[in-house]
Amino acid sequence: MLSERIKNTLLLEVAGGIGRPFVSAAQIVGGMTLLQLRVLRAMLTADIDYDETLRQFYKVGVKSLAVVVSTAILSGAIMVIQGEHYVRSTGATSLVGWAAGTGVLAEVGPLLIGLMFSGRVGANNTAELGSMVVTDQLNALRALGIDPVKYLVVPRFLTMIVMLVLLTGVGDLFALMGGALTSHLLLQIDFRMFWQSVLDSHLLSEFIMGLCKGFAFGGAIAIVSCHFGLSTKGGARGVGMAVNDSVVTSAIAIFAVNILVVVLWY
Amino acid sequence: MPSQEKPVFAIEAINITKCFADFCVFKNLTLRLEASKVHGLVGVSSCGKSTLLKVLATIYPFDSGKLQLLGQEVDFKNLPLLRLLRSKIGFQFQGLALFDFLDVYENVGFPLMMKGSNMPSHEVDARVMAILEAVGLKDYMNAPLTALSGGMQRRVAVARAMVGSPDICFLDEPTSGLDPVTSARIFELIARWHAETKATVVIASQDVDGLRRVCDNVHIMANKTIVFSGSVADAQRTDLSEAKAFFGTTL
Repeated sequence: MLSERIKNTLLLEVAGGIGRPFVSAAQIVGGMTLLQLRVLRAMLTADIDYDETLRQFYKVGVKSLAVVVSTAILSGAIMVIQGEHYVRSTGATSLVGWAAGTGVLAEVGPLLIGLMFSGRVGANNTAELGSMVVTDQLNALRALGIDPVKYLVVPRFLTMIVMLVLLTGVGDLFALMGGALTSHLLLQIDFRMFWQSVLDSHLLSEFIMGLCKGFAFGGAIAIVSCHFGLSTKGGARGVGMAVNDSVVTSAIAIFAVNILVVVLWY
Repeated sequence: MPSQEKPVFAIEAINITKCFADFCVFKNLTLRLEASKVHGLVGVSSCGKSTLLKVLATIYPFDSGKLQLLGQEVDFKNLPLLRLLRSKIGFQFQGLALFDFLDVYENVGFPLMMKGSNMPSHEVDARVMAILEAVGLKDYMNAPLTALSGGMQRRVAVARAMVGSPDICFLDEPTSGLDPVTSARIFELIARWHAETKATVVIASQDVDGLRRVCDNVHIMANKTIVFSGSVADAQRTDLSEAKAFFGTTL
């Protein structure tokens, strides 16, 4: 009888251990989907706080420029460094621009910029919203009859999408400049030859795909970071956990969305 | 034609229960608060006063019972009505809940600028300056919140709750952490503001002396419900132990 009870308890524990992560994941995905729907509904009715949106544009865009530019230059440089050995052994110097451009514009640039953006803006966003939750500022908005999703989430969603597309475009340019500079310093390739190689490669499609990724990454980072910020529980520890969850989930979302865009594109 | 007269009770909570998971803060609580009066809510720490205020202000939904505000039954599914009712409420949070990304002026003016009332900016300015003057913070209007002491921040929170001339104003510990002089000043401000606006004011506070000065009625919370409702004089006369604990002696 006792052994039967222990067996049942163990079975329940095992089933619970397996099922709990799935329930938790379903709650997160469900919460983010609902948030996304509420954001879209507010946008369809043009119920947007423009002052808050402008404030977010400045905070997100202008202040992210330096980190995006430095990431882009380094990612362009690394593409050339990776290809240096093959270029030296084959002497295919005219293909450096093509190789750097393809990799940077379609894949490495948007991905690295998205990850940096998520670490800087997404984490900051979760921490800010989480702090507002634990200090009752969200309840203060509700008490004033203001919907926190409309006032706080919609401006952030719009800003992150627009700014990540723009930053990806700017980042692409700086990544190519980083690639040109590195190929000049490492492989003594003339700047003109590098840029000619980029232009001859007809990389418009890769460039547009990169911008589409920026668009999708911006939306994903906004929804993930806002969801975890608004779901914060407890005090400072809760904010820390929310930021941690947000950064990890954003990274997973970026890779998942990346695959989705590539599959849809080709 | 429906009557346009003000309801006798600004707030009527009938048998309301509020629980968080398995823990019930109050059960089957009934409270009727007369309109245009100042009400004090007292009770020992952690008895649920703040939660009750948040439920009455429609910030927290309740689990069961019935809540009427300004003659309208609260229905959390009826969002337009909820928004309308909330626009008639001012709330000062115990934890202040000031917007740390705004300065003093913007925090106080926030309810006027955000309610979509299309109030002209000169009127917003006049109202904000008047209330800042009343709480003694006119010289700090452009200061960030981080530059203010805890007491000054509390005064900003009180000013924000009152600036929109709400029909019901909830003040959760408006004088907590303030010195006696500033506390007296806050209670004077409440009394003066109430005399001007005739709003219904609900103050949760441990400052019994302050409540004695401004309240028409007091309500004592204990054992997850309201155990006494009546005038301050009645509270001083009753034999109820909870009432004696708060109002039994005068300083």
